[in-house]
Amino acid sequence: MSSFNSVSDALDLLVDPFDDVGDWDEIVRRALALSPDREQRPRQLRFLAATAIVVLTTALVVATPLGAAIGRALDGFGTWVTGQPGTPASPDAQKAFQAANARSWASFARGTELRKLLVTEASGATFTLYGFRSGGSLCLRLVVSGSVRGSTSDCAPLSALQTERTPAVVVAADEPFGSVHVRPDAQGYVPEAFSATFGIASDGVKRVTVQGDAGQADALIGGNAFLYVADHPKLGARIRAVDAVAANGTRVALPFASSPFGTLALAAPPTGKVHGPSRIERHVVGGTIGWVERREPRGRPVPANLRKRLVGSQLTRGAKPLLARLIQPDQRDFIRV
Amino acid sequence: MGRRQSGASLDELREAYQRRLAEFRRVAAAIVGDRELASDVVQEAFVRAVKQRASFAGRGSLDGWLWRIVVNTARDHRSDPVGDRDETDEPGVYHDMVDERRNVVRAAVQQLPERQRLVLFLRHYADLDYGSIADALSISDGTVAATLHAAHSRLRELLSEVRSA
Repeated sequence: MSSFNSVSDALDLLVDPFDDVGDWDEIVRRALALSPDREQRPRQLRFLAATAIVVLTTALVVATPLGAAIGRALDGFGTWVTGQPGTPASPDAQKAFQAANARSWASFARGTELRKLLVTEASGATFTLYGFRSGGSLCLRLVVSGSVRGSTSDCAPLSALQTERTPAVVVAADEPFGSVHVRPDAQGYVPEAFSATFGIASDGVKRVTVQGDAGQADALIGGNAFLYVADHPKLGARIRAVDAVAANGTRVALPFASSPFGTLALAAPPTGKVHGPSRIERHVVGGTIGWVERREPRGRPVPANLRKRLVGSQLTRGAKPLLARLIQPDQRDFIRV
Repeated sequence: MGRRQSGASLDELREAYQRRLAEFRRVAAAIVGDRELASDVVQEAFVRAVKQRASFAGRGSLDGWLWRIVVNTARDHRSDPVGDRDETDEPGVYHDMVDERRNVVRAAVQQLPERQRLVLFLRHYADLDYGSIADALSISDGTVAATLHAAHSRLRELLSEVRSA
């Protein structure tokens, strides 16, 4: 069945080498944040803390007027740095997350602790936003229960947050949940029951406003996060702008790409610095996509006329699709698959 | 890395982290059985090291002290598996030959006593010499040599059994 030339060959197979870079700054930040007695901290560590705060403050001040406003008084994403944003999630929510995580193809580290950040209700549905840290990323998980059920998780790299020129980051925009049972329009689209926009905000952000096709509204804010839920939005209605507002009223627009409506209605590509790895970090072989296996209706429905065309097409190799959804993997990119 | 003074500086810790990160992570992955978790474990270990750096007595090497923290932190997070977690363990999911061979090695390594496993991991994945392994695990050089020999023999035997099965 199997053969190995040596013990060394066998051990090589057991654990692949690592070649990714580490995050020393994160270690120092955590060590500082968790230090039980700041007064007894060695001088060099205090100097490092001061340097880190100065660097963060300087970045914000240079970047934006809001940064200047909040930079004097904030510790950035303070509750996230200590890993204690919001309140502990309920045992049931933690258990559900662990179960979903265990099924996931790209699961988070075992033992990841959820924190409940925000809760809101709309038309019989409860929206609970959880936060958790995963390696070098801050992640948000929105769970919807009640009249509509669903969940989605999205992450932002900590390094990106620290270098971000804005005091808040849109992690997901117009994330759809459920759909309304009405006759599809001429192109086959039906409106979604709810759409959610959420993200991470630094300590100095007092308000987050969303400007959509239906007008302007305030997002809920708390636990270094914000959440806005559009209740039964009109077909094709989208969030067009998200602003963070400091205590003194200074306003900064947050970058994100509006989710396009229609198969070919592609928005202009986003500008700015590209984040993420520049090379393949891991080859994944085989596996399944949990939400596809469970026929979970993530993303948006595929228009009826396009679904008809998919049946028997070359794309599906003549087979009838079991599930077809439009997915926008990156909230800052208009590309959908 | 011999030392005469107690306490480790941040620069020394950072240098060791950057120099040996891949090895720390690989050994941690072998212990906890999960690559992602291994990265978290090493971060956590170094947070502990930074916080406790004043307690480094300087009697052994700094590397040995750090390896001890990494190994202990990994042991705190350890679950049953050894080696990279195999996500294809779920029924009905695609298996390939590499997965199958990896499972064979994992099963064999799991049968070794913990000390043999740790010595094997530190020797193979971190290329530590006997003195450094002894330092990291707080055992003698002689015990390292004997344990490593026993681990190799037993593992060879277990893998041969599989081959002839």
